[in-house]
Amino acid sequence: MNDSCQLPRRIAAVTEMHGLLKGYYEKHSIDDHTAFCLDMAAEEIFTNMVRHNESAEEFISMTVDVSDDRFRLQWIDRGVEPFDPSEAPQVDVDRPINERKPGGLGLYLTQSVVDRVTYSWNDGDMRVDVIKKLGVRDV
Amino acid sequence: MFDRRREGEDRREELEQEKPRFQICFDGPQRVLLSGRWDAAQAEFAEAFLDTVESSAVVDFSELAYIASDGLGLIFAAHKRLMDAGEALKLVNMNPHIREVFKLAGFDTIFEIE
Repeated sequence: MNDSCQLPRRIAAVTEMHGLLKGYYEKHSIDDHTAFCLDMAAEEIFTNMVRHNESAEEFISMTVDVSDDRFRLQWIDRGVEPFDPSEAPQVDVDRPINERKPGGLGLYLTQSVVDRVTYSWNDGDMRVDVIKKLGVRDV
Repeated sequence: MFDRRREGEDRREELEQEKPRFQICFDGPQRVLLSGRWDAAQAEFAEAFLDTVESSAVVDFSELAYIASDGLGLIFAAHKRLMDAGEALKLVNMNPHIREVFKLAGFDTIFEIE
């Protein structure tokens, strides 16, 4: 199955997005741990789009695609500048508290809790794909 | 499918009514109780509350189902501010999912977690 929706470009819509995803978790009997990981990844990607692309189109597209062995999410943000995740600051979680600052964990946590995150940009459209394998406990 | 705008608006109204509530409150003079789901939409409210914590406190996660990086950042900022004043936050009763996220973030060596 494959469904799409349009999410308004505002941080408050993250709660709505979680509510929509919850319906899929229930429909496909997704376990609590997998649902938690998908919620985290979805929140980080969506809120980054909202925060960093303020002048882009009003809505962000999200597609949910669930099969027997994987849960796939895709967002499309139109009219935005390219983003290269490899240029994001590296996170060193072993540093002591006096050498760390709040924030900066979103991309790192996203990549830690799902199996694949793919960023692509073409002619102003940024696509982010997330895949979480089902039935595999990797975090 | 729910890709038509009208269906989306109807669904949003339903979700608005059923959305889980996040709460943060004092449960005693030095105990902070978290409950519900702490997503990015709660940041302003949570930050304003944490700014009022001025001395060491226990933060009880027993009723918190979900947290993401925004929440982690705010807890970290409050702890660091308190540490600079010789105080600290102690985190208790996390569910296994939240505890794993704190470990991934390296916060298990920064906070006292029970």
